[in-house]
Amino acid sequence: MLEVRNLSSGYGDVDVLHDINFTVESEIFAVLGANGAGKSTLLMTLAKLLPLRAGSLSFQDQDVTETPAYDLTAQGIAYVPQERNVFPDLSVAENLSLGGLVGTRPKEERLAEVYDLFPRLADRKDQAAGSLSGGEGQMLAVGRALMQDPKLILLDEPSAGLSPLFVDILFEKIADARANRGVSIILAEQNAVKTLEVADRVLVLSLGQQHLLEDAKSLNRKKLMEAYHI
Amino acid sequence: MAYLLFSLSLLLVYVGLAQMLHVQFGLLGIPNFGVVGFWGFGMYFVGVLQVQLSMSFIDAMVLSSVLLAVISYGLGHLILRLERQAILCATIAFSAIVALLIVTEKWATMGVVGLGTIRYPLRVFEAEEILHFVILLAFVIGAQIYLMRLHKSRLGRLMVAIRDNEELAASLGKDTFRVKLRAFTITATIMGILGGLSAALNQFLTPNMIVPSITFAVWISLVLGGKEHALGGMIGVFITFGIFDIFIETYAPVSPEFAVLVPNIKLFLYGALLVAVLLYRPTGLLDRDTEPRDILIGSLGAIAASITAVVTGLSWIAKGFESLAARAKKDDDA
Repeated sequence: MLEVRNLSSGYGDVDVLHDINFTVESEIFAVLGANGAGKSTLLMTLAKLLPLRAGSLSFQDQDVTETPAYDLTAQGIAYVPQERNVFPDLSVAENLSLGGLVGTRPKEERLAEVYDLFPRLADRKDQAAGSLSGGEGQMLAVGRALMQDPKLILLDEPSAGLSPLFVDILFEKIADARANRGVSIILAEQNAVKTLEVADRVLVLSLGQQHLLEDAKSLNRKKLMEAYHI
Repeated sequence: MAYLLFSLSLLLVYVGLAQMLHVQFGLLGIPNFGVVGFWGFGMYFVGVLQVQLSMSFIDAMVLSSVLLAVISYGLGHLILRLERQAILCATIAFSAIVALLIVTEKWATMGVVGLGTIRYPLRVFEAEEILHFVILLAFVIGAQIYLMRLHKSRLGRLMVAIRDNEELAASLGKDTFRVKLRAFTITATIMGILGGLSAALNQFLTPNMIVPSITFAVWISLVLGGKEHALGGMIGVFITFGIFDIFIETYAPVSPEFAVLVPNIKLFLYGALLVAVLLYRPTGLLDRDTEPRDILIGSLGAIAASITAVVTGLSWIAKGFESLAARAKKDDDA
């Protein structure tokens, strides 16, 4: 589905990611790493919100290295940033409807599915997104991504700043979206324990370098710690 | 009557400019501080084509609009990817260049001597001024209806999304730069069309009409009325230009010998109102979600309160000056 070859990226004069290689199939693909490892940079680069400095990207066997962000969305990649991931001045319903700018299925049908997955959003559909709690905001951001009828969602640290209860609910919904909708997910997280419960494969980044790529089931604590501390 | 008609026509021009600025800044977050440049370009270009080349008003307007659209598109291409501060500086620079060219290119604009006389576009019987007012009114009403529809449309929501978080909006599957560029080009060109209509209104053009205070007046109106509401610009202009510039200047109950004080008092009250609104309603008199019924009641209330406050304030101030003058005269006599 997504193939990343020799990817390097960064901000301004600073190189952050170096020579990253992996492929994502129909799965939940976790990207783990400590603060500053380059998880968010990787997702922003995959969403084409940051330019690649080297390497190539292909999505569904098509080279998308030079494809702009909006075209990539139309091809089926949705991006959910870690912070500022809703439009605060717009209502919940308006935020979701913006997710429906792409895709061919009727918007009402998709909206009903999102409200079904996140009933709390239906209760607050006329409320300004800026007034939602952190957890509800994350639900809205994930809901908007699902409105895009994506084939792949890039999900950047959805559990950041959430209470344990909300983290449980959110991961349950992520697993639900994968199982029932067939959508693939690249999930960047710091919460390794929760992530390994839902992930199929894991990539560990440390200081912008790729240190481990393995099946989540066969990954043991020792290997993970080694990859984190290199 | 002619003066009132001129003032009301000018008010409609300001409303039109505020409506366009609402799209640029209120919806898209583009801080265009060169409003007077786009308006002045249209005004002078139509004037030059009419006076120097004897072109008809309509032809001059079409040519001016096409040229301004090309210029706005080029300018937008250069600046709309920049930070907001840079856009602000670039648009100020654009208006400064327009003002400078009007002074220096005397062969076309007649420089400080001034350019005239510009004819009204439509001449039917003797009602050309009224007809021009009706054209402006239709223009403003049409723009307002479009704005209110835009607010409820997907494009309107996308514009707000771009203003709030362009990076996130770019991941919604739409080319945000193209949306901004199109909107900027269209609204800047319409500012020029309003300039062209103002050329006929003013009939004689001088460089001192192209001053930054016009940009500031439009901005203050929009901020006061509510930059995010479709009616914010219009309400703001009614209060600032309508009450302060037309009503007070024309109908303030001040004896002629103290009329000279009116502009200063007006500025003082204008500033006080602006400070009060910014302190107590930072989003302007109308929020994004203010309901039509509340707008009507609020507007009538605000206009009535403003007129009462202004008239009472002016009367007191004038009476104070009059009694001071009377006392001084009495002392002199004594």
